[in-house]
Amino acid sequence: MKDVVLAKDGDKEAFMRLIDGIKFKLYKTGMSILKNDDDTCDAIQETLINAYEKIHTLKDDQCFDSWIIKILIFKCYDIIRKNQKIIKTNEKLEAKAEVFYEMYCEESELEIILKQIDKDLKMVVVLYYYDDLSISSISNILNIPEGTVKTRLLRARKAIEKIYKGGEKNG
Amino acid sequence: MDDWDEKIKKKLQNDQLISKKAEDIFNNFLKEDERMDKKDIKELNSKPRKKVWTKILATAACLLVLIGGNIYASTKGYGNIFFLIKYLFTGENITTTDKNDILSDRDIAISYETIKLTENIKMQIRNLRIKDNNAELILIINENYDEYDLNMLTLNYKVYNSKGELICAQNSSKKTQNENVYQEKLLLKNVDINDNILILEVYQSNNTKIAKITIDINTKEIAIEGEKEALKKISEIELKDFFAIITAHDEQWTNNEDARILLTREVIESGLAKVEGINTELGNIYKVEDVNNLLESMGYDRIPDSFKKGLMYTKRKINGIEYFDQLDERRNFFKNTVFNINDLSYCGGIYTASFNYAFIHPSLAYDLEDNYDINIKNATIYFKVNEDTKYSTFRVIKYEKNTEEFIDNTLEIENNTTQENKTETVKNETTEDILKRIKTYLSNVNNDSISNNYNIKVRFRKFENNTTQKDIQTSTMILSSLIGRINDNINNIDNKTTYAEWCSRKMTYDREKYSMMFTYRNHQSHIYWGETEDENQIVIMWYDENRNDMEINKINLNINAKTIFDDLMGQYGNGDTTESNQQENTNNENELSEEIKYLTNGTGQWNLYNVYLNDRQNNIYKEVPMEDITDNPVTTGIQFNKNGTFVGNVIGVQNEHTGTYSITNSIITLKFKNQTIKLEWAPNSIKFRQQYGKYEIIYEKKE
Repeated sequence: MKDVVLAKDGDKEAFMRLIDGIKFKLYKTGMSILKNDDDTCDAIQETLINAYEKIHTLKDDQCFDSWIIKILIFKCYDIIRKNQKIIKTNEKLEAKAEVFYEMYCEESELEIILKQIDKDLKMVVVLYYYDDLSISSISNILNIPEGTVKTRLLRARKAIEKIYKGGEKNG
Repeated sequence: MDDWDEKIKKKLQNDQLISKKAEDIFNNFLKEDERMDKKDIKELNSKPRKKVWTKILATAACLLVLIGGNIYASTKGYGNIFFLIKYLFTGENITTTDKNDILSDRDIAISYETIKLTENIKMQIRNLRIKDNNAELILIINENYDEYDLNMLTLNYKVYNSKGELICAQNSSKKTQNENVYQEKLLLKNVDINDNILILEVYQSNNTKIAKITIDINTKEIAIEGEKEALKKISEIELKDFFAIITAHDEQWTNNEDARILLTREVIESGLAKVEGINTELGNIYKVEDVNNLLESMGYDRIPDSFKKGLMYTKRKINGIEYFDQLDERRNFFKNTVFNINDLSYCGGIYTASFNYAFIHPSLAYDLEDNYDINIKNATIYFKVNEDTKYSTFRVIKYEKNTEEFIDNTLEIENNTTQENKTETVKNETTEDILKRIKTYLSNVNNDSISNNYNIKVRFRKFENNTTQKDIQTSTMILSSLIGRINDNINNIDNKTTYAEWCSRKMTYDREKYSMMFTYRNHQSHIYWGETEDENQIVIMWYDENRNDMEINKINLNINAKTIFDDLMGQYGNGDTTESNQQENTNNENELSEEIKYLTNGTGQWNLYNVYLNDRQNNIYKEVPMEDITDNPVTTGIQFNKNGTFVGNVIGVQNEHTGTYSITNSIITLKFKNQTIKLEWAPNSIKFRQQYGKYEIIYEKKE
C-alpha cells in the first residue's frame, strides 16, 4: 500500500513495483478473455498506460489490484469490440471471445480448468482463484450482484472438484 | 469449503508463466530511455475518431425529408406527413377538435427537475408516453463516477399505480459502464389513463432502495419520499455532540474494533443513544448486540464475531448474553468541542454539514485567558437522519477532515461553559472563587452553597507489580488513609498554597517547578506530576461533588508513595486546627510528635483524620463522615511520620460477603515499604488477603 501512495505522487519506481507484483495476474486474466497472446499484450500495454495516467484517481489504496484488473478487463472487451464491430452485452463479449481462440504458449493448470467449465463461470474463476479478489470486488468489476457471484463460484467449485477428482482417479 | 478454496487457489496461483512479449512489456514500461510524459500518454490514449460521413449524411437527409414533410402536412391541417399521404390516397376530409380523436398516443412532458439519487447519480423524470393501455416512463440518468470507480451502481426500477399495484419491474438498460448520461424507458403495463399518480422506486442491484418518488402527471409535481419529513428540525445541540465524538475518532473509525466500541460507549454515555448497560465494578458494560446495532445505525461496521480480546475491551458472558467488558476503566476519552456549524444543507435525503471544532483539554479551561493557541480544525460530514432513532439519530455517510488552522485565544466560543469561566476569572481571585470556578466547570452547574471547609481524603493505591498500568488494573486496592480538613484560613496564613492550586494547571510560588496536566473524567481527575505526562507520576483525584468533598487518590508506579505525598502535601504543614476533636492516641504523641511534619499547624496541634479502608475492586466502598458517627464519635486520627507509618481508625467498612454495611472502629497500622502499602496490624479483624493477584478485604466480625 505504501507503493500505491508513492505511485499516486508520481513515483515511477513505485508504480513499476506495483506492476511487477501483479503482472502474472494481469497476463492470465487477459489471456482467459482474449485467448491470444498478441491481443493480450496490447490490452496489457493500454492498461498500464491508463493505470499510470489515472492512478491518482484511485480512492482506496488497498483496492489497487482489483482496480487495475477492472481496467484490463475493459480493455480486453474494447479489443474484442474493435475486432467484432457489433457487440451488445458482456455475455456476448465472453461468447465472442471463444471465436478468437488460438494456441496458448503453454497450457497451465488454470487454462486446463477454464477449458472444461461453463463459460459464464470462467471470469469468476479467474478473478477469485487466480487474481484473489473478494466477492464484492468481483461483483463490481463484472457488474453483477454479489449473490450471482457466489452462485457461480459454488458451481465453479463443484466443477473444479469434479475435474480434480477425475484427474486423481485417472492419474 | 474454505479449505477447498485455498487448495484451488494454491494450485492455480502456482502458474506464473507469461509470454516473452508480455514480459518485455512489463519490464520496459517506464524505462529510462522510454520514459513517457503524461502528455505523451494522453496522446497515446486518445482514440482516433471514426467518421462515418455517409451514414451521417444519409440519416440527416432522411430526417430533413421527414421533418419538412411533417411541417408541410401540419400547416395544411393533416397533423403529420402520414395523414397527408393517407389523404392523398383516400381523399377524406376529416375535421375534429378533439385531440384524443386525432392522437394515437400521448406524450406528456413531466419535468426537467434534477433529482439527486446518490452522491454520483442524478435523474430527471422527463416524459410519460401513453398508448392504449400501456405507457413508457422516460428517465434521463446522469452518472458521475471516476472512470474505473469500483463502486458503480446498477439501478433497478419498480413502478406502482395509485392503488399500489405493480405495473413495472425493470432492470437498467444501461449499455456500457462508460455511459455517463443515458435514457431509461420503463414499460408500464395496464395503465389507467385516468390515474394521474405514479410511484417510482429506484433500487441498487442488491435490492437496497435508493429512492421512492411520487409523480403527479397532471400537476407535474414530483415528491421524493422522506424529503419533507427529513426537513423537519434537527437538534443542533445533539448534532454538535455527535460531531464532537465522531471527529475525536476520525483516524480510527473504520479500522480499529477497540476504537469503535469506545466510540459507541461515548455516544451512549453522552446520552445520544438510548442503550441500557449493566453497572459493574469497572463501570457500565454493554451488550455486544446493542453495541453492534448502534455502530450500524451510525454507519460503521459491526465488530466481527471473532473479536474476543482487544487492547481495551474483552467479551464476557453474563446469563448467556455477551457483553463488551472494559479492561481499562481508566482509559480516558475526550470528545472535541464543536464551535460553529458553518454550513448545513440537504439534498436527496443526505445532509452536508461543515463545522469548526477543536480539542480543548479540561486544563485549558483555565488558560483561555492567557496566550494559548488552540488548534481549530474544520470538517465536513455527510450524514442521514435514521428512521429508527432508537440507537442513533444520525448515520454518517462520509467524513472529510479539512485543513488545520491556528488561532489565538480571541476565539469566540459558543455554548461553552468555559465562556462563563472566562468572564468570571479575574486576577488575584480568592480561594472561594477558584473553587467555585472548578465546581462550575466540573459539574456544569453553578453551586452557590459551597462550604468554606473541604474534606480531602487521600487514598493510596496498592500494587502487586508497579511496572505497567495494566498491572495496576489487575492488582490494586485502594486504601484510604488520610482525610484532611483544609479551610481557607490556610491560604491566609502563608498565602502560598491553596487547595485550589492542586487542581490548576499553573503552579506558582514554591510549586512552580511542578507543572501539572489536569484531566477530568466523570468524578475523577488525573494529575500528572512533572513537565510531561509521566505515567510514573500520576496522582488521581476523585471528586465527591455532592458533599463538597474532594478525594485524592494517589497512584504511583515507581516512586515511593511517601515521596509523592510529600510533594503533594508540601506546604500544608502550616494548616490550621480544625473543629475536629483532638486525637486520642496521646500515648504515642510524645514519641511521634517530633517527627510529625504534615498537617499540623504551627503550634504542634494534631489535625484529626478519619481513615477508611476501601477495596474498590470488591465494592467495599463506604465512607462515613465524622458527623454521622454517633456511637463512638471519637477518632484517633492519623499520624504520618518519617518511617511511613500510619496509625488510624477504620471507621466504616462494608462486609463483602453479606453486602451490609457496619460501623466499626479499629486501629490499623499501615506501612509504606518498597512502594507498596501493606497492612501491618489490624486487631479488629480487618485482614488483607491476596487472591488472584489482587488484594481483598475480608471482614470478620469479632466475637
